[in-house]
Amino acid sequence: MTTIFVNPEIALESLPAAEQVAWQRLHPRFVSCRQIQRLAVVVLMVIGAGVAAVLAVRGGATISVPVQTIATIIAALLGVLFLVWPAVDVPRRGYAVRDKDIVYCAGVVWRSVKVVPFNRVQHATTGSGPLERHFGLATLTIFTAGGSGGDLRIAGLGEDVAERLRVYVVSRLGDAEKPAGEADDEGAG
Amino acid sequence: MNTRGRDPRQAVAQPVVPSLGLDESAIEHWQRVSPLAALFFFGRMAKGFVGNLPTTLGSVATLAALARESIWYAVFGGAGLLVLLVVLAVLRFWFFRFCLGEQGVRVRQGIVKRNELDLRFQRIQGVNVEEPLVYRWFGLVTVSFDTAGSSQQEGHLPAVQRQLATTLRQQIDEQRQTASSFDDEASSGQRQPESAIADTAQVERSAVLLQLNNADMLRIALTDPTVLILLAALPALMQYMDSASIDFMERSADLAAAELSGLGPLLLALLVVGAVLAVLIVFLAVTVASAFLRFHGFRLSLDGNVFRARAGLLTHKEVVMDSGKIQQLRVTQSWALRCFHRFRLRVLPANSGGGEGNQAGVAQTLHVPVVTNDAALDLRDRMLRGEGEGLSVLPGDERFVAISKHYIGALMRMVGIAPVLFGALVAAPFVAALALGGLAWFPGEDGAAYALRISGVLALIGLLWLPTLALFAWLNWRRWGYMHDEQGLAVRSGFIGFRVEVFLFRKVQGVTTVTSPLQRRRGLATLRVHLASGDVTVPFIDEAVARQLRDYMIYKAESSRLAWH
Repeated sequence: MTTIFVNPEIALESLPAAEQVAWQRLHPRFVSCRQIQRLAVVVLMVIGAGVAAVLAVRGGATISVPVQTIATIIAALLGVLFLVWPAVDVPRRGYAVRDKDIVYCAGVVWRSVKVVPFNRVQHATTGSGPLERHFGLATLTIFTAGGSGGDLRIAGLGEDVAERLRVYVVSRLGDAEKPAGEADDEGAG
Repeated sequence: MNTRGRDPRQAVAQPVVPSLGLDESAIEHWQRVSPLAALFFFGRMAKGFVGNLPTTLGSVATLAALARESIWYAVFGGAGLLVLLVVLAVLRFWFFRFCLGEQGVRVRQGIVKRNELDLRFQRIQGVNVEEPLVYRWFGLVTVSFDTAGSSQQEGHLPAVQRQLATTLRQQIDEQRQTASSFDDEASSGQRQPESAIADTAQVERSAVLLQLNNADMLRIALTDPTVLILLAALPALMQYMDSASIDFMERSADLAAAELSGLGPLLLALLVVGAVLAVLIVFLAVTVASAFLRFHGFRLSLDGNVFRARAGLLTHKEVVMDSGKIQQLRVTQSWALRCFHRFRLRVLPANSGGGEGNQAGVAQTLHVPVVTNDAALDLRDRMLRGEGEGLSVLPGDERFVAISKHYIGALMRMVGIAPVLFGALVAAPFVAALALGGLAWFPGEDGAAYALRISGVLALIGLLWLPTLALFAWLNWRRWGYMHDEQGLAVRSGFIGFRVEVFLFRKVQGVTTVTSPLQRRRGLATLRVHLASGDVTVPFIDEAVARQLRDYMIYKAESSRLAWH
């Protein structure tokens, strides 16, 4: 497994750059999943505000017309933002599985590229909420010993892809030189 | 790894204390600890009781209510509580059993709810020892285990024979060796550099690297961060003293009116100064005492490739760390330490969270409270074992590369201008309403004049805020710096003091590069390195450098044949 990196005197320029990979995009249905998730929040907020308003009016308060219009505009703007944002955000996320690591990029405003070597992975899990299941999506989480900062979470993968990735990652963490330590599958460092 | 210079099989076959049940035959040999363990349990419960606010408040309130009836009720109540704790402690000792097996330690405990903890030797990262004064008289210690993983259960063996700790360490070493010999290729790769180092280690086996004397204790006490808090609180204290002494003067004036009031101002000043000095002296005495309690007789020694830090006046505490487990070195220097030309060194293992690490399930850091220039460099060499020789742990090193100046502007925008703008936006309507007379908070005062004054004050705050922040941002920017060699990275940061984080590339768990819109315009990036001991960030460096460092680090981590822990 260690044949690629045989030459320790490697020129810096010839190192594989994490940016020059063919990014695998997330599942297209993830956009709708995200939109529904976000809209649900707006709807809940609107319902809450409505209930509060009704109670206030019953209590004898009057809500003036400007306040009503401002509240409606804010709700509408939030709704539109939440509808548009996933369509902008999701296509900018992507992952790539290389021979020795997995790379994940994300972000519209703050763009990040994260690399996690397979030989540092402690374990990996897949999970999905009810909405994700409805869309046939799952979230893959790869745990390293680096605590929450070092963990890699990829949401919006197809269920089959997530499962295949998980199995692959778990199969790969064995072939790295196993230290005489704890790195067993439950040892989330 | 066999740097202790003896055959590992001999180490197994040595039943140090026969009663410990190390013989192959007694696999299920459950044993009790010494009755003195009740002290340990009592201490823990008392700590838990006091640390738990509801129980403390509740019991204090109850006692106070009882005391109002009769002081004796309160005394009896308090005594009853004490007896309850003692009985519980004794019961906990009674139900505490442990069993030392081939593979690990098992602990059974619990009065009502029994639980059993199975600690595998493979999972134990370190065996630390604490020796309270009473235990020392009987040759007992409390052993605590550093385990990887988020186990909430406590791995403690209170009041066991001192040899048990040694035996446990040998067992764990042993397990490690057998486990590593499974993978031939890996172990051969691993053996090579370790044995090379073992040769030199043989020469200075169990060498004492560092000892702290009484002068060092004073330095620790004087650089204790709590001293700063006191100094900050001093003006408030003085004011209090001032009013208190005036009060006193007024009262005493009734008694000895004439002379005292004649001496008035001088005496008052003397009184205040005396009181402040007294408080300062008491406080210093407390910090000196605490420094002695924690660090008296501090000794850092290297035994093979295991570092041991042992310290304490009454309770001896020993933290043991295998050099292979070290993830990161952190050198800090507050301005107080700077006056003494000293540094503070923390050695972080995996899962320590970078903190003091005294909780269960969190590995303990090895803490060297004061260390000189040369000693710090020497320890760097020993702890990184010859790797990363080009890295400095000293903040004053000239080789640190500064980060981009755009950091100052970005910081100002993030924490400076944005809040001011936001504050202005929030304040504007109120001020306007005041000016227009729409709000009548202060009847009898002219709304417009008031609004003018408020906006004046707000503007002043805004104006003062920005230069202060700019100063701090500039100070912070000056502290930031990084340097790297073939094997590792050193990052310097801080505001007034310094902090230097040093780690080896091959121990990296993952790397992230982040760019904000501003950074993209300027061709900059922030590098975030995830280590098993926490994250290290280098902000606002050249994007190409950040990417290259990331790719190189990842390459080092992936191609390294050495175990990272």
